[in-house]
Amino acid sequence: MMSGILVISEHRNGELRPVSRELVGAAVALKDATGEPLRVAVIGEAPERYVAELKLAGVDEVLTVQAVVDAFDPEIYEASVRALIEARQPSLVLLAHSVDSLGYAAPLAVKNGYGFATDVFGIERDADGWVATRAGYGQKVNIEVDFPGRSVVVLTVRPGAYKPVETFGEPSVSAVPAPAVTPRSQHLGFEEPAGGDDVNIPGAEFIVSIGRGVGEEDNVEEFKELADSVGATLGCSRPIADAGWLPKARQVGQSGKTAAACKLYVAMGISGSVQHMAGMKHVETIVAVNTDPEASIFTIARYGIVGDIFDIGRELRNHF
Amino acid sequence: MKILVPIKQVATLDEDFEFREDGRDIDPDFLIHDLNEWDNYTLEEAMRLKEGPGGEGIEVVVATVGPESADEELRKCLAKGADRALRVWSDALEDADAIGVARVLAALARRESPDLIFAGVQATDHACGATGMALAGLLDLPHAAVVAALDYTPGSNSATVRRELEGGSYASVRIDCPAVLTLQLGINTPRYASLRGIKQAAQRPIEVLDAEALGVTADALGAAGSASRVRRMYVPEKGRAQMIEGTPAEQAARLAQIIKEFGGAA
Amino acid sequence: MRSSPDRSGTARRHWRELAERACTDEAPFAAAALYPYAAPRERAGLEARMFGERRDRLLLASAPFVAPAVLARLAALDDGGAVQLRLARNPATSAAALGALWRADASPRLRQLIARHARTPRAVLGQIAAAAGEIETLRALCENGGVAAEVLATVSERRIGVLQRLLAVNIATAEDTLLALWAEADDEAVRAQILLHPHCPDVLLATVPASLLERRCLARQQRAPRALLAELANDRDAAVRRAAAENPGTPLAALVANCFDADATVRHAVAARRDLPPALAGCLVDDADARVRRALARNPACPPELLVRPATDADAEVRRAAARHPHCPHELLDRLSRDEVTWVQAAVAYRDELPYAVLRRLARSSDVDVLAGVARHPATAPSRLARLAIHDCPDVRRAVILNPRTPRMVLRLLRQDGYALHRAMAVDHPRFADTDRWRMRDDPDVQVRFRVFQHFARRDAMPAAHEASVHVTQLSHYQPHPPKEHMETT
Repeated sequence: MMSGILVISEHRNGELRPVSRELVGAAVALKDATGEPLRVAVIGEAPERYVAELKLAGVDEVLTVQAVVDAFDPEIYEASVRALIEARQPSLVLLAHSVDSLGYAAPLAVKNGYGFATDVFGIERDADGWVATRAGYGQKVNIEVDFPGRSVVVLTVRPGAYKPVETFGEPSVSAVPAPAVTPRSQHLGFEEPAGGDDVNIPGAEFIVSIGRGVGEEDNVEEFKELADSVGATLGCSRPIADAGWLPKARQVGQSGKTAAACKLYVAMGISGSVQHMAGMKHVETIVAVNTDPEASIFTIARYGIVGDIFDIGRELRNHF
Repeated sequence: MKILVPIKQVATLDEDFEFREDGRDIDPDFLIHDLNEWDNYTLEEAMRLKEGPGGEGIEVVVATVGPESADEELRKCLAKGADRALRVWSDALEDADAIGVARVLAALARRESPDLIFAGVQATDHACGATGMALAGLLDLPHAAVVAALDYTPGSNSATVRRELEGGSYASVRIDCPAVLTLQLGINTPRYASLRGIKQAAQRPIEVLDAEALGVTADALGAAGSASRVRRMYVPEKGRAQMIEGTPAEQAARLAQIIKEFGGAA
Repeated sequence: MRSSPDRSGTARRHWRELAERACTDEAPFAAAALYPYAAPRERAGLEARMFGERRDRLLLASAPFVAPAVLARLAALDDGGAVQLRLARNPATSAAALGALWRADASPRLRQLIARHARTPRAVLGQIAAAAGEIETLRALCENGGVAAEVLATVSERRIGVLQRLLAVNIATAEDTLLALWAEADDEAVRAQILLHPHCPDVLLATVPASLLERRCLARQQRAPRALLAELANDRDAAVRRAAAENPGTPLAALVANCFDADATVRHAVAARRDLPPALAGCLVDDADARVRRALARNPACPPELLVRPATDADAEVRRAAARHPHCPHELLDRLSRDEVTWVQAAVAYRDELPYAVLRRLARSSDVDVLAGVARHPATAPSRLARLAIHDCPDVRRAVILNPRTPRMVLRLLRQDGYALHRAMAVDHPRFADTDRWRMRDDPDVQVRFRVFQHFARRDAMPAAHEASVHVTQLSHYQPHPPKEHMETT
C-alpha cells in the first residue's frame, strides 16, 4: 500500500526556489488531514547544500539525490523522481507547476502509469483517493479530477496557491542512490534578457496597455509616465498604433506582438477585440479598467475595475 | 526530413454558459472553436525551417486528435503551407485527458517517424501543458519544454534551444535530435494564410485515421489511457472576474496592491 | 421598412444570390446582415437560418454588430435563459427588446444585466430603483451609464449605504442627490468623489477640506472658486498641487511658483496648460525633467519660435513632442525628419501638412512606423501607395487602407490580403468599388462576408428600410478605424 506525500523541491542558479516552501505548505495541510508522512526531496550536484533550508516544520524526512549536473535536466529529474517514488512508495507526489516540471512531469507520469494533473490549486482525499481541482476554459470554470485505479498520483501545484512554510523542524535526512542516466541534452548556461531601451512586449512580465479609451494623442504621455512609475512596459491596442500614437512595436494582439512572458497585464480603456485578446488572453493575471461594465475585456479578466482610466491612472500614481 | 506538428482545436467560452447534463463539461452549444494560439507558432517554426537554408526536403505534417470539426483547424495549417494533415478520432477519445491524447499521438508518430516534433507549450482552453512532453516520454525521445528560441540546421543531430524561465531569464540547452520540443508564444511571428492558400486548403485531403487502426489498444484508449478523470465542472464561487468596487481612489489603491504583490512575487 | 424593397434588375439579382448564400452560409451572420432590409416574405428563410440552432441563437445574441431588428426578433422568441442573458448584455439590444426581457420571473442575473444596460427603458429602471430587492441589481443600476438623474434620486432615497459610492461616481447623479449623499456620507472617499462630481453643489466648494483625498479631488473640480484653487496650487501635497495646476479653472497667476515646483509632475502639469503664457513657457523650456520639456513641446500654447530647443533636445521623446506640435515650423520638421531616431521621423510622417521634399525623404525609410505614416499621408502618390500595399509588414499595408484617399486600384491589391481584418477594412473603404466588393461575397472569413452582405443589403434597401438601419453598428470586433481624434490632428 502506497502511503506518504513526496514533495520535489526546485532550485535554480544555486538558490532554492520559493515555490518549494509553498509545496511543503500544501503537503503539511494534507499530512494533517490524512496522517501520511511528508518527505521533501532535492535533486542536484551537491544536494546537501539545500538541506538546511528544507528542514521545514511538518517535514518528516529530507531526501537527497545526487545528480551529475546542478542545472535542471528533464531526464535526470524524471529518473530521480522515479527512483524516489520507488524508494519511499508515496501515494502523492507534489511538484511545482513551473517551467522545469513542464519538462519532466508528464513523461514521468505517462511512462509509469501514475495518476496526473497539472496546475492544481486544490487537493483533497476522500474515500476514492486523491482529488485535485484545477481551472479550465481559460480559467472560467473549476474542474475536479480524480485518479481511479492509480496508486501513485503526481500533481503539479500552481505557484501562489498555498502559503509557504517559513518555520523549521527537525526531519531526518537520507540520501537516495542516484539512478544511472545518460542525458541527451546539455545545459549550456543561463541568459538574462537583453537590456536596453528597446521595447520588448514578448519578453515583458508586466504590461500596462492602453486602448481607444485614451481618447487623444496628448493623453498617451500620461500613461507612458504611469507605466514608468509602476515599473511596467507600456503596450497598446491596434487603434493606438494605427493612429501613430505609439510605435508598432508596442502593439499587442493578432496584428502586433504577443505578450508571451507576461504575468500581469493591466488593460486600460481597451474594450477587448478578438484581435487584441489573441495576444494577451493567456496571461495569468489580467486587470481590466473600462467605463463599460459589459466590455468584452472583462470576460477574460481576473480583476475588473469599472471606472475612468484617467481617474484610476491618476490615483494609481499616488501609490508609487 | 519530416517535422510533425500536433495541433489542437480549442474551445473558448463567452460569459453566461451552461453545463452539460452530467455536470462534467460545458454544453457544446456554448463552445466556440478555434486553433490553439500556440499552434500558430509551432507551425510557423516548422515552416521557418522548411523555407530556410537546407530546408528544401522538409515535410511539415500537422496532426490532431479530435472529431470532424477539428478539420477546420487542420485546414488553417494547410493554408499556411503545411504539406499534409492527419486527424485521428474514435468516440472513446471523448473522455481522454492530455495523457490519453498523447498516447494516440505517439501511435501516430511511430507510424510517421518524424525527425522533430513541435508542440505548443499548452492550449488556451485547459492549459495542462502536458501533451507534448507526455508524447516525448512515450516515444522516449530527448525533449525540452517552453522553448523561446530554436537554433537548428536541417539534418543536424543536435539543436540549441533557449528555454524561457520564470522571472524573464533563459536557459540555453543543447539537445540531441530527433527531439520533441514544446514551443512558447513569441518564438517567431506567425504568418497569415494567403487567400489563395485558404481556398486551396479547402480542397486538400485530410487523412482521417481510427485510433484502433493505429494500434492504440483498448486499455490505452480514451478514459482507460488517461491519467485523470473529470468528476465535475463548476463555476468557482467568486466567479472569474473579481470586480474591484469603490471610488476611483479606492479602486486604484487595490490595483496598486495587486501590482505590488506581483512585484514582490517576481 | 416592411414594404417590399424596390430594387433594380441587377440589385434584385444580387439580392437573390445573397439571400440564397446567406441561407446556406456556415455562420448565421450573413443572414443577419440581410435581415433588417429583407421583405417580409424573405424573412422566414433568413430566420430559419439564423434561429434554427441554439448554437447560432447564442452567437447572434451576443454579437454587438448585428442589427437591433435581429436582436429584437430573437428577444421575442421565448428561448430560455442563456439567450436572454446574452441579449441583455449586448449593447446593440434595443430599448423595446430590453423592455420585453424584463419580466416578473427574470433570474437575478438577468435583472442585473437589464439594470445595467444603457438602453433599458426609463420606466423599467424606475421600477427597479423603487422596488428591487437584491443589492446586486441596484448596484448594477447605479453603474448604468445611461440612467436618468431621477432614477438615481429614487435609489438614493432608499438610503442604502453600500450604494453611496456608486451614486457619487455616476455622472448623471443630480445636485440634490449629491447634497443628500454628502449629509449621510461618513467616509472621506465618498465625500471626495462628490467634490469631484460635475454636479457638485456650490455650497460644498466653499472651503478647503482637511483630508488629503478630498483636497486632491477638490483641486480637480473645474467649478471650484478661483481663490480656493489658487490656495490648493500651493498645497503642501504634490498631488494636490499637480491637480490644481492641471485644472483649467486655476488662475495662471497662482501657478507661477509651480513652474519652479520641486516636484516634476507639478511642473509638468503647468507645462501642459493650454493657456500657458509665452513667458512661463520660456521658464520651462530648459527644465531639468524631460517629461516637463516633452509636455511643453507638444503644447499648442508653446510659441513655435521656442521649439528650436526641444527640436534639438538630447531626449528623443522631447524631439518627437516638438514634431507633434501643431505649429512646428517647416524648417524644424525638415530637420526632425532626418532625426537619428525613427520614432521621431514617424512623428513627422503622421503630419498632414508637409513639404513635399520631406514626405519624399520619409518615404525612402525602411522603418515600419515611418512607412505607416507615409502610407496614410494624404499627399502620398498612388504609385507609392501601391508599393506600400504589398509591403511585408501588415501594419504598413493596413495604413494604406486607413488612408481615405487611397485609390481603388491600390485597394484592389489588398482584396487578396492574407489578413482577414484588412479585407474587412477594404470592404468599408469609401473608394472601394462595388464590383470589387461583389467579388468578395464568398470570402472565407465570416466577418468579411458579413460586411459585404451588409453593404449590398444597405445599398439596395428602400429609404424606409434604411431608416431601420441607423443603429446598425460597425463590426465592433474589428475596430477598423483609429480613434476619430486622429483624423483631426496635425
